[in-house]
Amino acid sequence: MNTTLPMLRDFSDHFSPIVVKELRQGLRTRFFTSALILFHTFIILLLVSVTYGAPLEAVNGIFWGIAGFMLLAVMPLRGFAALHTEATDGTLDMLTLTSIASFRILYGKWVALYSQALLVAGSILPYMVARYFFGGVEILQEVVALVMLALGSGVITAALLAFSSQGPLLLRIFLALCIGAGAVPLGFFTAFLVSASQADSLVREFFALDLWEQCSLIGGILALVVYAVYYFLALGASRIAPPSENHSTLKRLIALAVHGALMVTGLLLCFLNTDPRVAFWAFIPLMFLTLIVCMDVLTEEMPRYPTAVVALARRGRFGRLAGRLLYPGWASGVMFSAVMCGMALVILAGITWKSSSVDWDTGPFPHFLCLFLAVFVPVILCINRTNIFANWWVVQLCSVFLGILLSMFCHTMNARDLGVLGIFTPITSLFGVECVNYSRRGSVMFLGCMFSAVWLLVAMLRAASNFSTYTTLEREELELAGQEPSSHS
Amino acid sequence: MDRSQPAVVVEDLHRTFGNLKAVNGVSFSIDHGRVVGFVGANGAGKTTTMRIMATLDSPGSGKVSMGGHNVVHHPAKVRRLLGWMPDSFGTYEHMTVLEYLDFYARALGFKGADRLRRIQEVMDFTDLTPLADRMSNKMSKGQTQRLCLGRALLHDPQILILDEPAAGLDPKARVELKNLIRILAQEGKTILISSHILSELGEMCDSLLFIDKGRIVHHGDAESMVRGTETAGETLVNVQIAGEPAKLIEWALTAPLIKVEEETKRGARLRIQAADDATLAGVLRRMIQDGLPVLDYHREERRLEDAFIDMLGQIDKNTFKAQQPGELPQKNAEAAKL
Repeated sequence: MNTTLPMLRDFSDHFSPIVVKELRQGLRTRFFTSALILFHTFIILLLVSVTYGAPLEAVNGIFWGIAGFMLLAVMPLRGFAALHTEATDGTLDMLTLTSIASFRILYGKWVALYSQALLVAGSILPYMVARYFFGGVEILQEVVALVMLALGSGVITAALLAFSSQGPLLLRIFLALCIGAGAVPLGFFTAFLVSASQADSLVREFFALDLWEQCSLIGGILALVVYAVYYFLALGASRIAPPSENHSTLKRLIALAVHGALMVTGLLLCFLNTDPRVAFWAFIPLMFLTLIVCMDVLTEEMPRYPTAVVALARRGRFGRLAGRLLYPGWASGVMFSAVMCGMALVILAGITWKSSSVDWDTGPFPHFLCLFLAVFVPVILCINRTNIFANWWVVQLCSVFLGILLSMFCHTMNARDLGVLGIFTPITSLFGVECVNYSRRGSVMFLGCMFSAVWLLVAMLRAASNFSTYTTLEREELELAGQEPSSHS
Repeated sequence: MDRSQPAVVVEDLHRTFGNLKAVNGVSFSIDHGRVVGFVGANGAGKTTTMRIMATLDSPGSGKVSMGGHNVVHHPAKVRRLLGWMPDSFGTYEHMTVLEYLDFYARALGFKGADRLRRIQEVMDFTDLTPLADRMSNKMSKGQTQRLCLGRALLHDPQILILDEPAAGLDPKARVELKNLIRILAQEGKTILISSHILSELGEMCDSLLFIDKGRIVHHGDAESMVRGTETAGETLVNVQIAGEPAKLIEWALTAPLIKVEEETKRGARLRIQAADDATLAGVLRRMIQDGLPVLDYHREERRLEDAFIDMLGQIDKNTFKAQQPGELPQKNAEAAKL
C-alpha cells in the first residue's frame, strides 16, 4: 500500500448509502448554503424592522410568506431534476448495479432533501420566540403552522422527486406547477392559522374535541402524509426500475389498504354524524389520492418479463385472478383504477343518500363521477405514443382546453344550450353542464355520465384484450418454475 | 461460479428501439479468464449488447447468461459477478475521490474496516491514492477512467465489461489503462472490452468479436481476422522518396502490377500484385534504375483496421448478392462462424 487512507467517519454504517451520499453533496452545494444565508439575513432584517416601528401584522405576514416559500418551494425544488440528472449523467446505471433497490434510491434522496428542509424549519424556531417577545404572536398556532409547512414540504419534495424521473423538461415544469397549485391551499391554511383573530375558533374547536378524537385527527393527518410520501416515492421507483422488476404489486396492495381505510372512515363519519357532509373530510383527501394512484397505474408500461408476475403467478388461480388487478402495467391498472374510483364514490353516494340538501342529478356525485371517469380517457386516446405518462397529461390538458373553449363559445355566442356538446368526454361534460340552463343541468349531467361510462367500458375492453400478455408471462413463469424449482425458494 | 460452463453466453439476442434493430440475432460465448475485444462502428450494437449483458437493458428476445445466471431471471446474481464500466459516465459534484468510492463500497455492502481495506486496495491498484481528496468531478479524463475502473472493481467481480475505456484518453493514460487491464487479465478475470482502437485490442485480447448492423460478423483472434480478409497474392508496400512524391506516383501509374493505394506526405502506399520476395525486390530495383531517390521501402504489415473495413465491404457485397431474386439473405449464425 502506498499510504494509509483516512477513515471517513462522518456518517455511521447504519445510514443508507444514498442518504450519506446525498447529505455529503447536499450540504456542500452553493444553492443550499446561499439560500439558507439569504433566508436568515432577510428574517433578521425583518425582525430589526419591528424595532423601527414596522407594523407587527405585516411583519408576521411577510415572515410566514418567506418561511412558506422556503419550505414549500425552494427546498423541495432541489429534487426537480434529481433522477433525470442521474439518468443523463449515467450514474443511475451504476446505482442500479449495486444492491440498492430503486425505492431505496428515491427514499435516500428524499431523506437527504427533507432533512435539509427540516434544518431550515428548525432554524425558524428562534425567530418565532423572538417575535413572541415582541408580542402579537399566538405561539401554539405558529407551531402548528410550522408543522403543517414541514409536513407539506415532505409531500411536495416526494412528489417532485417522483416526477423528476421524467425526461421532457416541459412535462416536469408542468408537473411542478401542478404540485405548486396543490400547495396553494396549504399556504392559505397556514396564513389562516397564523392570523390570530381568525384561527382562534379553529384551535378552540380542536381542544373541544375528546382526547381520542384529537389523537385520531393528528394520527390521521400524519398517516396520510406518510402514505402520500410513500406513494410518490414508489411511483418514482417504478419509473426508474429495470423492466424485469415488479414495483407495482406492493404499491397497489398498500393503496388498497389505505384507500379502504379512508372509505370506511368516510362512511362512519357519514352515518354516525347528524350532518353527513362531515364525511367530505375523508372524501377530499381520498379524491386527490385516487386521482394520483389512477394516473400512476394507468401510465405503467406493460411488463415484458415473467419475473414481473412471479409474486402472484405461482399462487394458483386466485393469485392469477388477483394479478389482473395487481400486476404491473396499464391493463391491470384500468381494473385497479375502477376499484379505486368506486371506493371514493361510495363515500359520495353515502353523503348524497343521507343528506336531504344534496341531490343525485346535479350534486357532487355526478360531477365527481365524471372527474373520476376522466382518468380512463387517455387509455383510449393516444396523442403521444412513445411516452404513455406524458400522453396521460396531454390528453387531460387537451380535454380541459376543449372544455374552456366550449364554455367561451357558449357564453360569447349566448348559446347556453350548446353546452350539451360537451357530453362526449368526461371533462368537457363538466364544463358543458355549467353552460346550460339550470333546469336542464340534470339531464345534461346524466348524459355526460352515460357517455363518460362508455369511456370506462371501452378502456376495460382494451385492458381485457391485453390480459393475454399476463397469461403468456404467467405461462413462461410457471415453465421456469418447473425448470428451476430451487431458484426462488 | 460454475467454471465448467462459459462465463458469458449470448444466444440469438435481439433488441429493437422503435423501427431500429439495434441488435439483430447476436450469438457468442466467452470462456472464463479470456479477454475478448468487442469491435464495431458507432451504432453497430456494441453498447446495447453490453448493457443487456450488464442487466441495464432487457433483451427483446434471446437469452443472455453471465456466470450461468440468466440476466432477466436473476439480475441480482449477475450484478454480483459483474463489473461494468460505461463509455461515458458522470461523477458526482461536491464529492471527493475517497467519498465516491466510499459511497459505492457502502452500496455494495462493505462495512467498517473491511470497506476501508477494500477502498485502499482498489485505490492502490488504480493509483488513485494521491488523489483521494481531489473532487471527483475535477479530474482529467484518464483519472476519471481509473476512478470508474476502481468503482467497477470494488466488489472484486469475476466478469468485467468495459465499454470504450480508452476513448478520449491521451497516449500516457491509454498505456496506463492497458497495463491495468493486462494485470486484471492475469488475475483470471473474464473481460469484454469494446474499443475503436483496433490495434490496441489486437495486442490485449485473446479474441475479437466484430459486430456490424446488430450482427456478429467475425469471432476469432486478430491474426485470423487479418488473414481471413487478406487478398491473396497482393502486398502493400510503403515507399518514401527524396523530393516530390508526384514523381513516384507518375512512375507507379505506368508500372505493371502496381496500383497506388494512397498518397502519403513523402511518398505513397503501393499495392503490388505479388507476394513473393523476388518480385518485391525487383520492383525496388526498377525504381532505383528509373532514377527515383528511394529513402524507404518496406512491406507493410496489414492493419487490423484495414482488415475490418475490407471485411465490412465483403459483407455488404454478400448482402447485396443475397438480395438478388431467388437468393436467401445471409444468416447471422453463418456469419459468426467466420
